[in-house]
Amino acid sequence: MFTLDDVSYRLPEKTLLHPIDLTIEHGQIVGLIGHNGSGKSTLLKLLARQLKPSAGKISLEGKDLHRWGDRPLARQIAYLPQQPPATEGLTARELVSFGRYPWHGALGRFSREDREQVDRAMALTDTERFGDRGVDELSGGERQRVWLAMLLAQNARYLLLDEPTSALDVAHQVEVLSLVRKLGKELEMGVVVVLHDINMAASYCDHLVALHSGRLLTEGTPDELMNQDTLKDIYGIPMSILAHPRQQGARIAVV
Amino acid sequence: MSQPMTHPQPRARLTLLVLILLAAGLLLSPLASPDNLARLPGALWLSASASFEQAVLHYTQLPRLTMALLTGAALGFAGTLVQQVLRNPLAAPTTLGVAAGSQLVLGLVMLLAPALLVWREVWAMVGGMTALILVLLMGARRGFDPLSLTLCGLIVSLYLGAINTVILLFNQEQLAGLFIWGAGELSQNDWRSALELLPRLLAVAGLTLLLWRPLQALDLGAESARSLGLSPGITRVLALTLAVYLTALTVSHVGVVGFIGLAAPAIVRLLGARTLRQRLLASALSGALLCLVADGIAQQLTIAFGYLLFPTGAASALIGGPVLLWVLTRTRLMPARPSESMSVTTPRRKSGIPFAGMAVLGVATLGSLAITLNLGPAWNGWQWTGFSGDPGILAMRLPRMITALLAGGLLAGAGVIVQRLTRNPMASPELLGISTGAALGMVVLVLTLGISSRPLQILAGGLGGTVVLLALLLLSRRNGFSPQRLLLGGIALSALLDAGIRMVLAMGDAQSVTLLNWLSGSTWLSGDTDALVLSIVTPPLLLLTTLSVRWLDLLPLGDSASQSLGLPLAPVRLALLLLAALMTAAATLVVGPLSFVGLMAPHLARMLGYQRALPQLLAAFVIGSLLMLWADWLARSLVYPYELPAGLVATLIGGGYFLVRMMRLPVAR
Repeated sequence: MFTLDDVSYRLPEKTLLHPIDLTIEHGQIVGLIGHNGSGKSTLLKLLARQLKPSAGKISLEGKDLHRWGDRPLARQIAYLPQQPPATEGLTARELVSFGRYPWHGALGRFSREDREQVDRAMALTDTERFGDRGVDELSGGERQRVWLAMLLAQNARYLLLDEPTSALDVAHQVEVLSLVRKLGKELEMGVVVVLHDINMAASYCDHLVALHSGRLLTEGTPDELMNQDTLKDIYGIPMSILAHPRQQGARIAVV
Repeated sequence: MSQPMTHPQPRARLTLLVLILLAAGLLLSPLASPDNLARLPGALWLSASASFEQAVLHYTQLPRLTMALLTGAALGFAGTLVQQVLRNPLAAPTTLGVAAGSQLVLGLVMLLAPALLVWREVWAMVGGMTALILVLLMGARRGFDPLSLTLCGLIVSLYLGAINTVILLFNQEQLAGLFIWGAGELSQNDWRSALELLPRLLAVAGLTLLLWRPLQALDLGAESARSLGLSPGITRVLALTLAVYLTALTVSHVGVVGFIGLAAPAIVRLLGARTLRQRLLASALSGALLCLVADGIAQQLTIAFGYLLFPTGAASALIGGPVLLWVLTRTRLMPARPSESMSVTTPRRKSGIPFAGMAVLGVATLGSLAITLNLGPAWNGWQWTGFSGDPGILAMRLPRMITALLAGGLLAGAGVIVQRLTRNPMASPELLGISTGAALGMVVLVLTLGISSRPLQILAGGLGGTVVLLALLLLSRRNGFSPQRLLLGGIALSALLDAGIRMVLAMGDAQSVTLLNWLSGSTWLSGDTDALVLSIVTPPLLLLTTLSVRWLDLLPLGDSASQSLGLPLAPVRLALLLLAALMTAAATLVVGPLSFVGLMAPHLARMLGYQRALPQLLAAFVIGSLLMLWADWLARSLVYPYELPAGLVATLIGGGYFLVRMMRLPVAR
């Protein structure tokens, strides 16, 4: 369980995140939504310890995030940056096996367990087929799945994903998000995912956290947030809510 | 480049700067001595009744002052032009190899056909343009990303510099003056240069005025400029040609005065000049004054050191180097686009272990060892010594071979580390400034204490390298040893120290040739001690490196990814940097500061299909050793009974390889 206690993040000239209190439960899929520059990515980076909060305290499983060792923390949290870096010359399988670093460390042997975890991660993401192909040769959706596999091989309890679908077309967005949801549920992981598309967020997340100008605006289930007033507060433009034509009970937002 | 947030009065600040520089420059100039001031009115317009001193003033000091101002203005102007075109705060005619190119071609002409020196501006222009085209062709492959472009510029500069050194080594008598001139010498004995320079400068300024609007539109980026109906390509080519012309002009008249083209635009920008017109005018002005100050310092030092010649170019490095470092700490660099591949080689990926590569390497190693040990020219022609041959010859060759093998391997290992650490395939241990620092330490030792023993030299070199490393660490500490900072700091330090070395060489005497030999990487001094030292040092260093391969595997994934995998970035980078520094220093001490082996071997290893850190490291180690071994062999065989410095041979091979390689890459989007 993540608890954020009065956490804020400031740059010299600007406050990116005003003091915020938040609890993120284990085992649910949490979507971070908000306008551009609302502080979603900053919040996610704070959770991933990519940034250090200017004030306040983040704790993971009751222990201050900054008192975790590097590798123990990496066994708890796997983080996918917004733009996965270039991976020149690496095969998919090699990349996935890098996810085992938190377990074997700089000098440890790459054990049978490591190998099994890599196999499992690739099976879960259905990436075994291109194990021997270069990551750079893969399509956007395939590459995103390989990165997810690397995060899974990390065998962490939390997945933090920063806009994992931003570069993908609709079909691939659905593919990646269904995979994330399936994995989150099957492996009982806590998933925090930054999403731009409110409809995607509403249909794949259990819980939504909305930020506005670096402040927590509101949080709740998709059902609670999917109404005209809240969405107008979040995105600043009027939106209409329609019933989903095929999915019973689901709603979609249109501009 | 980050603009300071608020600048209420850029004009006031600029005026202040101008006044300070002007005062400093005038005070430093020998013109400002009371005697000279009294003579000045008569010296300005020489009349028939003028005294001898007034004539001297008229024909030496005054033109020198004018030349300093004109040169500085030209360089400042050229710097801003280049920076505007390439949108790169680190671009300058000197960092892009233009000056080195001009210098090389002029040197060649001076040697081969002195009569043709009448058109020296043309030759300087040809050299400068060729160098720039080389750099730009290389840079295009990396999408003109500022850091890569600067690295390409440095590589080309060093390469051309190495060729220049070869020419110098073989023609010491004819080209002795080239040393001094290479360091930028402003002495004048009439008004001819000044009068030639002035109209040309004004003409360029006029032409720039015509290009002014299209140039300004380049601020929007190429796509937007094109959508405004401009042709960014033509604008760029024209503006760069003008900048090269300005640089070639100054090089052909006074030699290489570095840093001003870099420092003036940077200072002006930091003081708040924003529009192109402001920047062009202000940087020409502050360039002129900077050059005046540098020249003043140079003259004062020359007087202080008892008329040992102290060139202005060296003094400008003393001013410009710190400015560059200061700019680096104030600049928020735009990182290379994250999606950009770090590829220089086109990896041919095959599944499994690259057996072909291993076979090639194995055969190459055995063959190379046998040939380089046994074959060599002797007084009676080429001789195959054979293993039962003359033990005297073997005893002479063996230590050199061991030294070359190990030094090459160490540089290659350091290269793998540095390239993976900085995520930049153009990085190389030589460019971190550590070798240059070691070189400077040894140069200073030899020139101050006279000829000295090998252990003392090694100590001084080690000390120099350590100082540079500490400076580098201090510079990049605040950013958690961020790769970009490291590289840029290293480039700045190398350039600064290199200027220092040039300066010392220009002042020095007969010893400078010996030093030049070592500086270009000579193995012939290496005896049993060097071989022994390296044999002791290499195994632990190599072992430590192999132990860090998992880090080296993860680091290219980028900061966020490797950090979230549990890699403590700052300590890991520090450890790797220290390791690379040790390896570089150990190799530098015996083979000199320059070889490109650290740049080339990692690439060759990748091309053979070794992509992961461990195989790449081991393959690079072998390749680096072989490169150095062959360089050493060629160095002692090619011009027998004379010798070339092995490092120089390696540079010529390596740099050439690299240039060809870069040309063949597909252009980045």
